[in-house]
Amino acid sequence: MRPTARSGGTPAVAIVRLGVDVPYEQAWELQRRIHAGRAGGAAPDTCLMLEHAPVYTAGRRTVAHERPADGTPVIDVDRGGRMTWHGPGQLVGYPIIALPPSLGVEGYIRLLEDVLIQICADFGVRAGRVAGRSGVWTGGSGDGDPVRGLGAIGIRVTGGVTMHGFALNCATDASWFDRIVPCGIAGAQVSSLSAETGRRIVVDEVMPYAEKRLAEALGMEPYDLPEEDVLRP
Amino acid sequence: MRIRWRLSVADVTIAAMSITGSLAEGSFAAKAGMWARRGAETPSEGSARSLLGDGESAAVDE
Repeated sequence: MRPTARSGGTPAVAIVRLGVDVPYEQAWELQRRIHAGRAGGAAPDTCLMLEHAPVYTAGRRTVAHERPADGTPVIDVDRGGRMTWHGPGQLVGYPIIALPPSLGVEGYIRLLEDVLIQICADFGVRAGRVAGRSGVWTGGSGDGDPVRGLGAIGIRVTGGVTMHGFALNCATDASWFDRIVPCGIAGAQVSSLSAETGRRIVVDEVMPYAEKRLAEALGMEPYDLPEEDVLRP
Repeated sequence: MRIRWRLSVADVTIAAMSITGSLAEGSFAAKAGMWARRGAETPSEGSARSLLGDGESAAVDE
C-alpha cells in the first residue's frame, strides 16, 4: 500500500522516475492523469523526474517573436512562463502536489527556485534569483561574467493541485536555446552545471540531490514509486 | 544646473524599515548587499523575498 504519510505523521511524496528521451506529450498526458487523481484523492503527492526528448514548449505568456523563426515545431502548453527548450542533459521535475494554502502560488514558485539554488550549491555552483526574471541564474559578478540561466520554472495550479514544474540544465547543449528567446528575455545566456564546473555532470548524478532538496523543501518524505503504480487503487 | 534633494517622511520611513529588515536577516544581509552593489541584474542568494511579483511563471485556475 502506498504511504500518504510516514511514521510520525510526516507527509510523503512519491518519486516517479520516467527515464530519458521521454516524449513531451506522453509526460504531459501522464501529468494530467495524476493531477486528476490527486485532485480526486486517488493519487498521492507525486513528483515525476525525467529527461525529455528534444522539444520546444511555449507557456501561456509567450509572445510571437520568442518562438523559433525557422518554423521549428513548438508545443503550446497550459503552464505559466514563456518559451523554453527541454531535452537531453536537462533534469525536469514535475511535482503534482496539493498546494498547501499557507504556501500559496508565489510561495511555491519561490520554493522551487530555492530548490534549484540548493541543488546548484550542492555542485559548487553559486546561483540565485535575478529581479524581474523568473528562474535561477548564475554569473553577473562583473565585466566578462554575464548573467547565465541555469534553471527555469513554469507551473500550473488547478483545483489547488500543481503540475508542470522546473527544469535544470545539467549537461545540456546550449545551442538548442539559440533559436528562441528563452524565458522571454532577449539576449539571455544559458548555461549548465557542467559548463559552470568544467566537468560533465549528468542528470543521473543530479537527480538524487533534486529529490532530496525538493522533499526537504516541501517537508515531505520521498519514496520511490513505479510509474504503473501511481494511479493503481 | 541645480539639483534639489528632497527627503519625505515616507522616504525616511522606508529607509528605516529596510535597514531594520537587513539587520534582522543577519548573514544574508552581507551577501545580499554584496550582490546589490553589483547591480540589479545580478543573482541574489536564496531568501524568502519575492523578486517576481506578477506571477510570471504560473498559470492558475482556481
